[in-house]
Amino acid sequence: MAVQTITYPVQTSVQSVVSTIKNTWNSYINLIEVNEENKLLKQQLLNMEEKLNQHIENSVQFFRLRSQLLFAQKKARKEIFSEIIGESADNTHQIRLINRGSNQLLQRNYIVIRKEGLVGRIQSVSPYQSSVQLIIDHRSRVPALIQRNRVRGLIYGTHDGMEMRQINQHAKIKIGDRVISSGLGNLYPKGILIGWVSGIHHQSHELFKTARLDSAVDFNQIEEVFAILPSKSDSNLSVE
Amino acid sequence: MRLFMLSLGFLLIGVFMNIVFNYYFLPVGLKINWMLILLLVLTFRHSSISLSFLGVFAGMILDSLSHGYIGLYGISFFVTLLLARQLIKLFYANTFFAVSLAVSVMTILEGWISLSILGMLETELNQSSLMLTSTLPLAVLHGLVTPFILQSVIWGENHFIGDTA
Repeated sequence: MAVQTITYPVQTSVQSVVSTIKNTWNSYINLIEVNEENKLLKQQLLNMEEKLNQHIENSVQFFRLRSQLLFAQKKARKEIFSEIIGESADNTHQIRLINRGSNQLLQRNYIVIRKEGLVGRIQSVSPYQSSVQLIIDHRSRVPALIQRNRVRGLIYGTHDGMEMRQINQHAKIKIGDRVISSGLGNLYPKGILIGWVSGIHHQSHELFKTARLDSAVDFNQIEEVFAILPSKSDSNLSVE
Repeated sequence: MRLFMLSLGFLLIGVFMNIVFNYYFLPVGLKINWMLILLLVLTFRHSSISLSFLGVFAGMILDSLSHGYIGLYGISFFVTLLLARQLIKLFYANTFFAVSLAVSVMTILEGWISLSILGMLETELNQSSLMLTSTLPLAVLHGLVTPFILQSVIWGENHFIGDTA
C-alpha cells in the first residue's frame, strides 16, 4: 500500500503525459484523415453540384422543347424545328442564323414563328443554314391589325423594338391591345400574335397614329424556332 | 507572298472571331469587327495594296453574314483600307497609341461609308442615330482592343515573315 501511495503521483504523472502525447498524436493523425476526408467530400459536393446543374439545365431544356413541340403538334401545317446558331455579324441588322437550309426544304420568305408569336421571315438560304430577318429589323414590315377592333396598320421594325404605323387617326386603340398579323400581302399568315400596344403617339396635325409595341417574343432569349412550310392548300403563304 | 498568306491566316481568325466569339462577347452590346481591325493593323504596318483587295473579300464575307447585300462592306472595306494606306504617310503609326487612334478614326470612316451606302438601299435607316449609337462606341472599342491585335500581328510577323517584318 505504501509503495502504491508513493508511486501513485509518479504513475499518474507519467500516465497523464503519455495520455496527452497519445491523444495529441491520435488527434493529429485523425486531423490529417479528417482533412483528407474533407477534401474528398468537397470534391464530391462539387461533382454533385455539377450534376445537379446539368439536371436543372436538362430539365429546363426539356420543358422548353416540350412546350414548343406540343405547340407544333397542334397545328395542321408542317413546321420545321430549327435551332439558332448565330446572329448577324454587324451591329446594324437583326438577323439570326438557323441550322436548317435548302436541304431541309426551306426557301426564302418562309415564315419563322415560335409558340409565343411571330419571329420573322427567312432572308436567305444555303444548303445547311438560313438567315432569318427578325420582325424588329429596321427593314421588316408586317401588315397587322388590332385583334380587339380589327384596326389595321403596318408594323415597322426599329432595331430594338417595333412600331405599328399608319393607323387611322380616328381609330380607338388602347395600351395592352393585342396585335396580330393581318395576312395582307400574302407573306405572313393571318392571326399570328406579334405583341401588345405599349404606347400611343398621335399629334393633331398627323394623318396617322403610331403605336409602340411590346413584342410577344423575347428576341434576346430565343434558342429554337419553327419555320413554316406552306402546304398546297395554304393560300396565305407565298414563296418566291 | 508570305505577307499575303499571313494576312489570309489572320483574316480567317477574324472570320472565326466575328462568327463565334462575337456571339458570346458583346461589350456594351456591340459586335467588334475583328476582321476590320486586323486588316487595318496589317495595312498600317505594311501598306500593301493586296491588303485592300483582301479587304474586299473580308467585306463580302461580312455581307453574307449580315444583311445579304453582297459588296456593300466589300466597298467600304476597300475604300477604308485604301485611305489607311494614305493615312500612314501623314503620321508615324508605329506605337500602340498611334495605331489605336488610327484604327478608331478609320472605323468611324468605314462606318460612315457603309451606312451611307446602306442608306441608299434602305430608306428607313436612321444613319445619324446609328452613327451615334453604334459606330462611335464601336470605334472606341476598336481602339481599346487594337493593342492586343497589334501584339498578335507582331507575333505573327516574327514567326511567319521573320527578318523581313
